[in-house]
Amino acid sequence: MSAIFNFQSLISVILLLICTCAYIRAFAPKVIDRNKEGLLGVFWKCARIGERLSPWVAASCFCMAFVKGGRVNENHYEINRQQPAKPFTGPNHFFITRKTNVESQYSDVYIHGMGASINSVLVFVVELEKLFAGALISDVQTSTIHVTDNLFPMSDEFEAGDRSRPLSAVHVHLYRAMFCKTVYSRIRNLSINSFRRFTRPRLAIVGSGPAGMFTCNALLRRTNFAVDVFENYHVPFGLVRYGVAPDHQEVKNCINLFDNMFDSNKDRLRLFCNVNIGKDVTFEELTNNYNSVLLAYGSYKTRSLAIPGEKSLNVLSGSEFVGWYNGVPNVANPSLDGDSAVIIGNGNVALDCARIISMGADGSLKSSDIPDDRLAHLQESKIRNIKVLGRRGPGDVSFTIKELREQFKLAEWSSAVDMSREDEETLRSELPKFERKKKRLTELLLKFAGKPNGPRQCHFLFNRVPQEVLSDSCGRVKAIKVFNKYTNETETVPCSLLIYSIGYQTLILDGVPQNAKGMIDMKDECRVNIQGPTPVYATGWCAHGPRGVIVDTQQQSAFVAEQIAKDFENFNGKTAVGADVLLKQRHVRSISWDRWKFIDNEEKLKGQKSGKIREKFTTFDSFVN
Amino acid sequence: MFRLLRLGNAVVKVSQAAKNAPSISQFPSRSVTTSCVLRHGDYEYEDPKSEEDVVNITYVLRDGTKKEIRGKVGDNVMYLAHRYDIELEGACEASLACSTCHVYVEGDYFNKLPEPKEEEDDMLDQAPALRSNSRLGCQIILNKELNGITVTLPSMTRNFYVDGHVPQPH
Repeated sequence: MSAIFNFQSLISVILLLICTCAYIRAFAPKVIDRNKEGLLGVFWKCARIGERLSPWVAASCFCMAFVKGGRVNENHYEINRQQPAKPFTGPNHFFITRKTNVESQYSDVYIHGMGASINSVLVFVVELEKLFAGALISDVQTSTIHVTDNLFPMSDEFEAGDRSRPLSAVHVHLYRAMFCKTVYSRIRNLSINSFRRFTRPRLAIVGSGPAGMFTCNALLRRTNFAVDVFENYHVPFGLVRYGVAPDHQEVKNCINLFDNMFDSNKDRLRLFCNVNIGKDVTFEELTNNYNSVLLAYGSYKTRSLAIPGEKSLNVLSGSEFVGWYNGVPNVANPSLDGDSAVIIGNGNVALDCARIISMGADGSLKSSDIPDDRLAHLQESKIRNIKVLGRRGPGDVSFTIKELREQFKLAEWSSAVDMSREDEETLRSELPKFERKKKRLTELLLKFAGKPNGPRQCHFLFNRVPQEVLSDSCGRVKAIKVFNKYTNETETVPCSLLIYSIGYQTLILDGVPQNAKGMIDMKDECRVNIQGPTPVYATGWCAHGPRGVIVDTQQQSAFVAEQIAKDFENFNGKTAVGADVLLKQRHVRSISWDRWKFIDNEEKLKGQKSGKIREKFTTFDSFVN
Repeated sequence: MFRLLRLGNAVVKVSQAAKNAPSISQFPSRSVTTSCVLRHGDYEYEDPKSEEDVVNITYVLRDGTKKEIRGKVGDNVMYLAHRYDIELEGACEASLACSTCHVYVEGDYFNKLPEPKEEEDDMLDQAPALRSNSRLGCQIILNKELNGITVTLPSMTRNFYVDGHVPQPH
């Protein structure tokens, strides 16, 4: 009603009345006709005016649209804008204006904005959603808020007063996706179990190799854990990517399993590559920010030869060489221009190195995932003579039969096992007593006993203890002096490349207890002997040394997952916060799962162009954001 | 349902605002659902077409419980286990490069299976808790002759120290 006390509004009302009446008469002439009296008579007059003077009415309406109805000429007043009463209150309600500096620490947040700041609010909400990648849900509501401005006249001809303006406002309720799910499931089956989702334990896994991933998979299958995986390299999967030989692509099929695991557990599984535990985040911070920590970082410190001359040029560890042909970043090319190579060690790494050198030259690795530049270097290899030296006898080898068989099957290469007549006879007589695995392996060794011949030779020698590495004037290895335990004499074996693979040492993270053997101090098969409220577990090679193949790791993982699940069966604490906030604060340029899938795709595409499975990148600078 | 609809509206509103805002380069994909990737083992997800095709198989799980399943001719024992959520790993996807699908084949059925290939034997050598009736699950293809077969999953090994070392409890 107040509108008609204002002259401009009164005119508007009369014009609208005229229009309305004319409109109604056009539809229902009987309602408003000339015979009506009283109020309806007035309506008839209005309708008639509307009909007869329609151009004028239209023009008047048009004018009224431009005349500021009920508005104040701001030049005549000093305006003091009052804050409207807040329609909602509470510590987690935020009212955003153009001047607000936003900082928050709540899990369930309301954000309000009005007028010109609506856009900022929405932009802010969208940025938040992007930041939390699906973990946040926003519920957007709109309303109208009336604000009052106090008017102070600047000259005497105007009166002081107030004016009220309606303003559009937006109210965003931001909450965790998880919270929403919990509410749903609680409503569906009001059981105590569904409430436990709310308090799921958060586990940190150090290392994304097979040990970590298999355990993660088994654990996610069994429990409601939320898991964060940390990886030191720019890309995940540890030895599956950087250890498994390029001619054993089928072993890498387990990556499909891990892919599937990440895809189907997006709400509770995160990957942080390019994060060094100990440097970017300390072990202590991990235990503080997680309900539990699982160490699965393998053992990548190679045991050194510890003989004079081991620092000569072109002497490298098996893992360095394996890393080189598998595309580990920042590994220099070894020189393959000499004629002969010596590999010390009787394990699978030694066999892998021998086989890759053997296969490198003939181009059969062309379609594998060896990076192009390293493959080219391998193809130019001049090595024609490989000697694999074992410090102990032929009965003590730790090869697996598949790899050994592959070496013997290589075309163009003649491979043979050198063993004394006594050794051969002893092995033959003991053969029936051996368990199946050793029996079959020994049979294979015996089958190929003898001397290799032909232009390309691979010779397995036993009972040779390395004594000294001899180098030429440039400091490059030219031979290795070994003690022959058969003859009790010292031999000199010439070589231009020396690879030693005699085991690994476990690297112990700062804060992790260490036992007398230099290994992680374990309470039992999987629990680390550590004090404090956060249980720490270890699995894979970092727990029990670099032994066993993928099946052993997988079996152990299933066991460890079972143990962790058992320990947390009655967990009713709070979900720990996780370390992602720390990473952000420290500007650690971590690589997420989605980012890795992007890299993965790029590698595959690039590989496809040259007919390879993938072209591994050896620098990732363009991918870290 | 109402709540979902409202959320849907919110998405639209926010995304429209995002279009106008120059600082947003891309709108985050919020509810991306990924369908199952087509892979080996799809055949096992089909039900037997006729009663003649059915091959009954019993899995004895690691905790000793028995799970009876109606398989069909041509099913791979490993992928069939995956279909029915039996925890039989298949890390190399039946390419004979691991022995994570190691099983024991009970009774006379072991002899009814075709002889293992050399590659399978090589892989079985690595399998923990190997027995004389061990086979790789991925190499057993069901046929009518195998109707009633029982395969046992090896119980989980606790000894991961290949050299036999057992850590002393504190």
